[in-house]
Amino acid sequence: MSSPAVTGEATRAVVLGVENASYRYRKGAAPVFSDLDLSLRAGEFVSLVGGSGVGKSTVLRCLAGLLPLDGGRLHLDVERIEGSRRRSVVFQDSRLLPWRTVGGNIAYGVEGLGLSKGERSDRVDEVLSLVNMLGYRDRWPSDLSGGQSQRVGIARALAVRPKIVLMDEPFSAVDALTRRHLQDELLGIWSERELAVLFVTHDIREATYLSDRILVMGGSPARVVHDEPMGRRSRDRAHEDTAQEAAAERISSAMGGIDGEGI
Amino acid sequence: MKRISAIHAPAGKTSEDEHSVQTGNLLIHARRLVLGLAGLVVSVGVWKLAYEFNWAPRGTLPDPSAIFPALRGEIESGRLFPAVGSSLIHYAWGLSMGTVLGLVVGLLAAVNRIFDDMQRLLARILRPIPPLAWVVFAIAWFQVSHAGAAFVISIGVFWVNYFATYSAVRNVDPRFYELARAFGRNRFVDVTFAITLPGAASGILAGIRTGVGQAWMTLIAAELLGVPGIGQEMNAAAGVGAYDAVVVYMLIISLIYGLMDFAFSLGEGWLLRWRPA
Ligand SMILES: Nc1ncnc2c1ncn2[C@@H]1O[C@H](COP(=O)(O)OP(=O)(O)O)[C@@H](O)[C@H]1O
Ligand SMILES: [Mg+2]
Repeated sequence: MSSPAVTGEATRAVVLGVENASYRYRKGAAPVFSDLDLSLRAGEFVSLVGGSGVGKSTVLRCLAGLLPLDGGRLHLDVERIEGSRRRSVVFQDSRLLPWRTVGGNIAYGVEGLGLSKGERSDRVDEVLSLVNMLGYRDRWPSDLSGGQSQRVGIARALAVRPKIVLMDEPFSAVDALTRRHLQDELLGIWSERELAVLFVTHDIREATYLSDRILVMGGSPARVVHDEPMGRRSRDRAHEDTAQEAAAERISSAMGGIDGEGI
Repeated sequence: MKRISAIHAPAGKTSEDEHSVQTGNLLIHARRLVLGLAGLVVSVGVWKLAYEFNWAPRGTLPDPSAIFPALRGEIESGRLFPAVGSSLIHYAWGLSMGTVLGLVVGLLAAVNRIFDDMQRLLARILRPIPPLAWVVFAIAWFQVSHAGAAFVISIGVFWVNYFATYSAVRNVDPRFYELARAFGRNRFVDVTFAITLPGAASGILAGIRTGVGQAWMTLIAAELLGVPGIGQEMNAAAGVGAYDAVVVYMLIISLIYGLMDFAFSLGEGWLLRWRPA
C-alpha cells in the first residue's frame, strides 16, 4: 500500500485494507465502487467521508466481511486471539436486539467466543463501565435514549476485544451535545485500547476532530478521491488550528468537486 | 446501581399526571364492568321472556333459572368431570400437535427457499379443506379414539400456526441477521434461537393464541364421531331433550376457554415484556 504513515511514529503495519476493490449489489448493475484502495494501520483512527449514497456503508460492510468483494483483494492482518474477534462493527442504527436487555445485547457478541458464563458476565460489566452505563445492565433497549443506545452498541463492539472497530455514522442520529460527549468518550477508549478505527461520517468537522487521517470517497463508481493526513496534534475543540481548518477546506472541496454534494 | 438508575429514570409524567391518568383508567374500567353486567342481565331477561312466551318450539329452550340446577345435576350424576377430562385430553393433543407442526413447517418454509417452493402448491390445495372433512379419515385411520379427535383438531390448529409463523418469520428485520453475521453468530441453530424466533415471537404467539380458540371450535364437532367428551354429552343431552344440560356444557366450554386465554395472555405478556408499553 502506498499511503504514508501518519501517526508520526515509524510506519505501523496495515491491519485491514482493500486493493483494486469493486462491489456491485446485483449482477449486471453498475458497481458502487471500483478500483478502490484503502488501508487502516494498527492504532490508527481513519475517517471515511463522502456524500450520502456514495457507498461508504457498502465499503464498511465489505471491510467487515459482511459483503464479499466482486473484485480486488481484502486483507486482514490481525492475530487471532482466543476469546476475541479481530474486527467488530458499530451500526448507525445501534441495532440492539429489542428482546434482550442491555447486558444481554452486549453478551450476544461474546457468546460465540467460548468463554465461561462468569467470564462473559465480567466482559459485560467491563465494557458497560467503559461507556458509563453500568447502571443499565438490566434495562430494555426500548427504555434507552438514542445516545445511550449508541453507547451500548459501542460496548457490544468492544466486548469482543477487537483490534479493529468499524463504525458506520454511529453518532449521526444523536443531538449535538451528546454527540460531543460520545466523540470524546470514543477518543478515550480508542487510545486506551489501542484500536484501529474506521469511522464513517458525512460530517467533516467530526472527521477532522477525531481522525489521524481522512479519506474522501466520491465519484460513480466511487473511489477514494482524497487522502488527508491530519498529523499528530492535540485534539482541542476550542482551538481549531489553521492547519485543521485548511484540511477541512481541502476535504470539503474534494467532496464538492466530485459529486457536487458538499455538506 | 440503584442510585444511578434513579437519576437517569425517564423524567416523563409527574406523579400528578399519573394520578389523574389512574383515576381516569379506573373510571373507564368501572364503566365497562357496569355496562358489561347490564348487557348480560338484559340478554338473560330476553332469554327468560323467550322462555315464558314460548318463542322457540316448545321444550327446546331451557329456563335460565334451570341452568344452575342442571349444572348440579350434571356434576352429581358424574358425567361432567369425566366429559371435560376426556375433551381436554384430545384437546391438548390436537392443540399441541397442530401447534408444533404448524410452527416447524411455517418456520422451515419461511427460511428455506426450496422447501418453501415445494410446499406452496400443496398448501394451496389442502388449505381450503375444512378440518371436519377429515373426520372420515380420522375414523378410518384411528377408529373412535382420542387420536382420531386429536387428529381432526390438529388440522385447523396447524393451518393457523403455519400461516402466522410463516409471515412472522418473513417479517423479521433483516438487519438483525446482518448483526448476527457481524458477530460471527450465523450458525443456523444460533440464528434461529437468537434472532428468528424472538424476532417473530409476537406474530407466532398471536397464531398460537388463535389456535387455542380454533381447537375448541373443531373439538365439539370432532367428538361427534363418538369420542367421549363434552361434545358427545351435549349430543346425548339434546337427544333426550335436556337442553338445560346443553347450555351447561356450552357455558363450561366458554369458561375453560376464558381461563386458558387468560393464562395464555399472562405468558405472552411475560415473553414479550421487552416491548415498549
Ligand atoms: N442492499 C442494497 N441493495 C442494493 N443497493 C444498495 C443496497 N444498499 C445500498 N445500495 C446502493 O448502493 C449505493 C451506496 O449506498 P451506501 O453504501 O449505503 O452509501 P452511503 O453509506 O455512502 O450513504 C447507493 O446507491 C444505494 O442505493
Ligand atoms: Mg451509509
